Amino acid sequence: MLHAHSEGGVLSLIVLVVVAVLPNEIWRWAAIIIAEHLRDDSPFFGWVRYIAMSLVAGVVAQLLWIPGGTLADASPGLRVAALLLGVCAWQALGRRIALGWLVGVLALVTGVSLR
Amino acid sequence: MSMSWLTGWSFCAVKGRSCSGAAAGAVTPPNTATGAFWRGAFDAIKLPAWLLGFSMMGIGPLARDVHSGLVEAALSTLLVFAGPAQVVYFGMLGTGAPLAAIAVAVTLSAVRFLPMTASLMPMLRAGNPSWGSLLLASHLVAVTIWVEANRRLPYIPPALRLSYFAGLGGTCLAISTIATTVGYVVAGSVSAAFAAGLLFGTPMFFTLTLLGGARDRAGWAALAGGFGLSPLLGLWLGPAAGLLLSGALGGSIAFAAERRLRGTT
Repeated sequence: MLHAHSEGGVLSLIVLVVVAVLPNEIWRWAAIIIAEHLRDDSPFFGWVRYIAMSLVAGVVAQLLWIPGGTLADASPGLRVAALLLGVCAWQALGRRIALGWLVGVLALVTGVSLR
Repeated sequence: MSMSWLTGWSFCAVKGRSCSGAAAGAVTPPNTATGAFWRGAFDAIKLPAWLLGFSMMGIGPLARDVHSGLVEAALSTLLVFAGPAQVVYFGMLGTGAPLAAIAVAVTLSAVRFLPMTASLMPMLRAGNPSWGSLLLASHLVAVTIWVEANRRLPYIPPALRLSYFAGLGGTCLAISTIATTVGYVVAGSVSAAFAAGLLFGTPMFFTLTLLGGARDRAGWAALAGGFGLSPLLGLWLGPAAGLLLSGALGGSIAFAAERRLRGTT
């Protein structure tokens, strides 16, 4: 059931596996292999935990400052304002993630619509 | 040595005015593997699966833009399950880049899974699972799921954590795959403002979860380091390499500072 847009059919699926799936998945597998011989109290796990935290914060910053797709249509000022509004709402409304999230997203959608 | 850093950075921010376990621990913990699996699936449905789904929805239009098929788009989410890698893949396919170059860019964007997956291992292998089930579970590591798992897993009995994680991640994967398919089909018919809102949902969720979850000064240092460095390094080295370097720097500095403060250098 390949879509009409598909150019390579089965070949394109092989390309997907070789060029995208495997180069991506090896890092998940590598983690298991590296961790296998380490005890749970090895400092390694504390170290990778802080790196992972830092990475997640970095993902947020990149999505905010150098976004792709339609999010780039929203000005940097609007993106930051919507984020701050969401954080304030989250704080004011009893630290409920779903509520803060909704306020932030609606603020951005409203801002882009009003342009 | 204190083990607190293994579980000390547990997120507990949803509804979490107090972080003393009330948030995720108030409900009776599951006591069977099946119960744990469904608890994970239920927690995914509460919000994270939809957030991940929304961000994976964007893969559909992207794939369609570069004339890839619907099956290819859906399979990319099911089998790759990493937004940045998929964006790189379809984006570079569209520019006609050589396949080897695409593979290198994809693998660079995926290095983050090494520390993320590794840091979950002490919790996921607590029930002595088989090698195969750990490999399968590792496929479910994504930023959203990692954030949610860190928050929830400490309240799940150790032997049931892998089952819980499978329910959490499996549900997110299923909804994401459906979302990519839907995104492919409806591409172009969604307003730009709505599409921008969907994309914005991901950084909004990470920000709130991180703000609610950082417990110690070193954790804050790691967050600040990553947040401050990654856009700068990203502009200089490109997003993927910039992200990696900022994570390695921010995380290592925070870790070194934490060890020094504890006097365990």
